[in-house]
Amino acid sequence: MPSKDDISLIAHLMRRAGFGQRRDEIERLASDGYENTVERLLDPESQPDVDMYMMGRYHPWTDHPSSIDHHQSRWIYRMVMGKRPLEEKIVLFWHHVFATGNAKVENIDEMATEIDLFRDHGMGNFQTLLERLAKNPAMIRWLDNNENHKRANNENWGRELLELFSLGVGYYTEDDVKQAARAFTGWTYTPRKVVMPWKKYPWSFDYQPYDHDSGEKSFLGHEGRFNGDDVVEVVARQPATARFISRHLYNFFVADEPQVPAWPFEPPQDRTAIDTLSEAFVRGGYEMKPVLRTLFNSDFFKNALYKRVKSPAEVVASALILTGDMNGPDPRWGDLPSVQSLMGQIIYDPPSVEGWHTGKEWINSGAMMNRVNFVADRVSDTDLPGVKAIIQKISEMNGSSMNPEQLVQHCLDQMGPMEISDETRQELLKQVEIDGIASWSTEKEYKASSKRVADLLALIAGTREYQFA
Amino acid sequence: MSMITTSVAGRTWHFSHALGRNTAEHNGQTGGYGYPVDVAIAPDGFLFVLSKGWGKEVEGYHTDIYRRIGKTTISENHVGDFARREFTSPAGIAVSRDGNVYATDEHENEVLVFSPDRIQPFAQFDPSGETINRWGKTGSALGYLDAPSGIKFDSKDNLIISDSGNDRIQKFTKNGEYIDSWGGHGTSKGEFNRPWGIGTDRDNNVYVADWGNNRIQKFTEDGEYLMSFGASVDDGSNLDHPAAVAVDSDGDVYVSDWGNRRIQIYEPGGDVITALYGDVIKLSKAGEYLLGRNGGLYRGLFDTMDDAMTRVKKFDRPGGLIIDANNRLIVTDICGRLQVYIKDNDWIDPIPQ
Repeated sequence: MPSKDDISLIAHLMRRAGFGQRRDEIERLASDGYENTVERLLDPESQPDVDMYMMGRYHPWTDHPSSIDHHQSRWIYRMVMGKRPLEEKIVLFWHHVFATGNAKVENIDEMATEIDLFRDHGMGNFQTLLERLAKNPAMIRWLDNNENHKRANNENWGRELLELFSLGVGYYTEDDVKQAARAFTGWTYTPRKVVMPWKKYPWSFDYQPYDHDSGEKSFLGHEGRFNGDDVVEVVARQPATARFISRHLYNFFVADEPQVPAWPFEPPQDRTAIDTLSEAFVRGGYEMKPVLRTLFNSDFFKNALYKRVKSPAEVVASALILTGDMNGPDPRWGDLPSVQSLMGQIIYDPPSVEGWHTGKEWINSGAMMNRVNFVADRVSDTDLPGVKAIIQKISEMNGSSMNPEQLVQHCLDQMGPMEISDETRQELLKQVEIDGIASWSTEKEYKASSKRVADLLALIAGTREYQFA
Repeated sequence: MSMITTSVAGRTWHFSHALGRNTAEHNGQTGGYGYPVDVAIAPDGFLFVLSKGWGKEVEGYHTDIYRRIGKTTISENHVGDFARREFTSPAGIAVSRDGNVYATDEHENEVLVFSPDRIQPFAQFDPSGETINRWGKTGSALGYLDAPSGIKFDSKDNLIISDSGNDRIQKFTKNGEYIDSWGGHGTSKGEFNRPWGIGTDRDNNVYVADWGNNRIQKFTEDGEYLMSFGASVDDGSNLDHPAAVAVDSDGDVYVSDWGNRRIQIYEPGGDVITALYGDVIKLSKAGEYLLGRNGGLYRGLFDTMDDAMTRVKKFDRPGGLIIDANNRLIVTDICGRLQVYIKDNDWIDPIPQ
């Protein structure tokens, strides 16, 4: 039987490297060991892919999507039903970093192709990922590279590549931006702005040699007749890129950092951690798996329990996984995109190229209410398999009855295990003490105590602490 | 006009036309279908098309307006729609001898019964309900249902239902009284993995699209196993998650090869003859209507119409499939349309000039 600390650590790993996990599965993984679990997460192909045929049969609008929410439902289904949690989490990570929005792209199928790129290459080589991203039609349209011509440069893509996708502010000059833009002239997509019955034309990358500036360029200290691939190669190997991506990884997987625009002015909260990740990134040849392995096995990760505010995607997916709600075909998959957007995250449509502001900025009064209600509605439903399992487990502890302190502790343990402040504990206790001892001996007692557990789980979902992952 | 034909082994299929257009309708008369999953034909020749819709409530209408049944003729004279707000997840449709329309709801585990003549104006529904009957109980005991999908009347006007979640076939009277069942979860003969569509032939045999097992299984009308095909070898005859099956008057078997996006056609003995992949190269009446009404939105289409149509002509996830009395094949296509083919046993390929 794994110790409480082992279980706590695996639960932490699964919240960060995935979207949470049911308690019985966490205990199984804890028995298997932490490092083994990390290795399995890093090897997604060892697990079966999501059965999208089931999704397609019962929800054909996700199989032949015609709007952004159809694609969103499809993606959320993957987050919840997938057996490759880290692969899916990395997709979300890159969507945060290489934030592209359908509001401008206006071709949701192409947006989905970009997301598929993150699924296929998100755990692979960073330079390869960046090369493919530079040729991705959704990205080209998002950052106007289709308007970047030999005789009339548009610097949007060149600038964001350096500012937000690799080096970060302070590590390049305005001239580097201009030179990068020149190198990407003639990189566009085809066909342009044409609709078909039912949907837009599919786009593909299009290189127009006559529109490409093949002249000599001077870029970040390198000289040559650079094209876009050359620029990506130079960019990917800059030490600043390693640090920038490492800080993103830290912010997404370890602990909330300030928002990206503050990074030039505010140093990382844990410089050593960023150094460790950067070194792993360079040493591993810009491959993502070694740096992720280093991250998940590090002490700074293991000591960072509940140091991140959950994103809405995490709130929704983790509640469904924990409770076993919607564990298969269900018309409510169509409702989830609007649920998530009311919490402040519209996947496929981040607010700007900067991506979502994370951490405390996820929380406002409207978002908070939606977060709490979504989770509380589920954990208080004693018919859901995950809730039933929690109740069953708690009923088997402390013999046939337990005092309010024990009941609160068991519920916190099953929901995380969670650590809470004394103040929160006292509030929970105040509620639980109204009904005194919880007994499980008779059918009637079991039913009454089940209801108390469900109510308590809903209260826990409303605590400040539950908002953290 | 040149004909699009598929001619193999002494049989020929001509592509005839498409019906429907996946778009908002206008006064209930444009014949739009939102993710159609099944179609049935009434004794008087009218078609009933079951649309699965968008899977969410549409603000302002209090319901998913695409989740409904459309009534039309095969030449696309659209009569209108009904059953809006009746389904949660409609799956299969059939018409009884007396002309009433029966449809399964795979989420509510019910069979809903409608009169064929009750049409509702666009976006309206009767809050008192439109069904003339509805029955079905959730569960796994005999006579209970879990995700019922395919539905078909047998020669005695009883219902054969694919009880998908229970991996079995069940028979009921029209009023929902349990008669018989067969199957169970598995891959052996007579077992199923999420069965979907059901077909019958003139000898009253029952064909089941055994979706998860990638095969068609054939039974007597009493459920005695006869044969299966589709899942054998990878020689082009194999199926990927078949959704529906129908048999023409010559005994040829048509299968909606859902995963492979084609219609596979088999000899009565199970040997593959050929496949149809979809041939819509011009818009249906409803599509033309839309284009005329909203040219601005589709302005770009006019210049590139031929290329655009070529790109969308093929089936995407063909679903329900029926054969009418004239050996016309009618297939629902998830692109909001139906495609119609005509079998022509007398066709002779023209000699090239």
